[in-house]
Amino acid sequence: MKTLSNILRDADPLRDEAPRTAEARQQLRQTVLAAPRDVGQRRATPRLTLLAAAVLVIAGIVTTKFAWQHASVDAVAAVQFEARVAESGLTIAANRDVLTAHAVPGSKAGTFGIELTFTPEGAEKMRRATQEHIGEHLELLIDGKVVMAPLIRSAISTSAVLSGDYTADQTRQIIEGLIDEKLELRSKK
Amino acid sequence: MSDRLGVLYDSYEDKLYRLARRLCRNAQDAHDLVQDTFLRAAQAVSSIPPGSAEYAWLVRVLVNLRRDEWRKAVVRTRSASLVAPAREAVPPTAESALITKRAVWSALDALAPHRRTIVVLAEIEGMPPTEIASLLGLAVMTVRWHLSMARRELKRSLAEYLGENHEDAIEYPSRRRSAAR
Repeated sequence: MKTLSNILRDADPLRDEAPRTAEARQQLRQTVLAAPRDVGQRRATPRLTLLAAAVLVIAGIVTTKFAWQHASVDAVAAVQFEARVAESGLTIAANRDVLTAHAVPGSKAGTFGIELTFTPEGAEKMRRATQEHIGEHLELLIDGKVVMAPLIRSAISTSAVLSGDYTADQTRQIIEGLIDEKLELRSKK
Repeated sequence: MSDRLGVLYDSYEDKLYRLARRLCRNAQDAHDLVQDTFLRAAQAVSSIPPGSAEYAWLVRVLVNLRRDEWRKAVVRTRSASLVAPAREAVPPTAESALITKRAVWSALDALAPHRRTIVVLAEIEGMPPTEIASLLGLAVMTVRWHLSMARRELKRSLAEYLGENHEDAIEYPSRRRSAAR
């Protein structure tokens, strides 16, 4: 019977690999000792610090205003996204799990797909669910309509591509809708 | 300053490389990680704590650098896994031991760097949780929790390579507590 500790130790790469050569270690030592020292200890001048603080405050005000406007005005136009296991109907991820949405070239000229990147929590949910359902189909839905249903061949975690061959207008609407929904969810917290 | 950096290098380079190798996919990545760790140390050599805490300082820098690399790699992989299997194709003539090793390292790659570090220190280097906690600057309970979660994740990923009674072979803190009652 193999235990987890056994197979981890058996797979230890240091057991099989040849030891590093003295030359390689010496070369690394020389590189390290020749490196510039303590540059992190330098302090910015007070004038630069004040300027940086002012820029940060202005950027914060602009960002907050922009986010608030989008969160309160465009919530109606939100697009519902859902990823679920086709066979069981189990929902894996939704809008709140989407971090970013970008347009990517579609399979036909002039069409687009949408690449979604998941939040760390969303990615973890996707990874777990898809790992448990390898060999089944993953359904990706936009506003309740299945836009694609690829076979799960391996665990999916960080991102997914909706290859729906959308027009430019459709792509823009979906991306804006996904992001607006995200802002709306944030504003409610 | 240069003397201290040289002393640090001579004292800990090998230990750090061994840890780095167990956290990286290949020897070159481990070599680069150790180099980056010492380059970071060179930039802050005067702020490295003295005595036994200096090794812990270096380990934390190494693990944080590894975490940064891991995050970049996560972004790079993107949706490739939707259309292509993440596992490498294994030649039919390959030995089962090699297949198991690849599976183990794929499973370890899926763990977050801090969690992977804790598993490596505990399971491969045989370090007790109290020592790991001290080294990484974490609470002992946090280390135990990460260890427990990592074992569960690995057990799930490697179920087909573990023996039939593998659940009994894996020791969870909660089970130890209930067994002690």
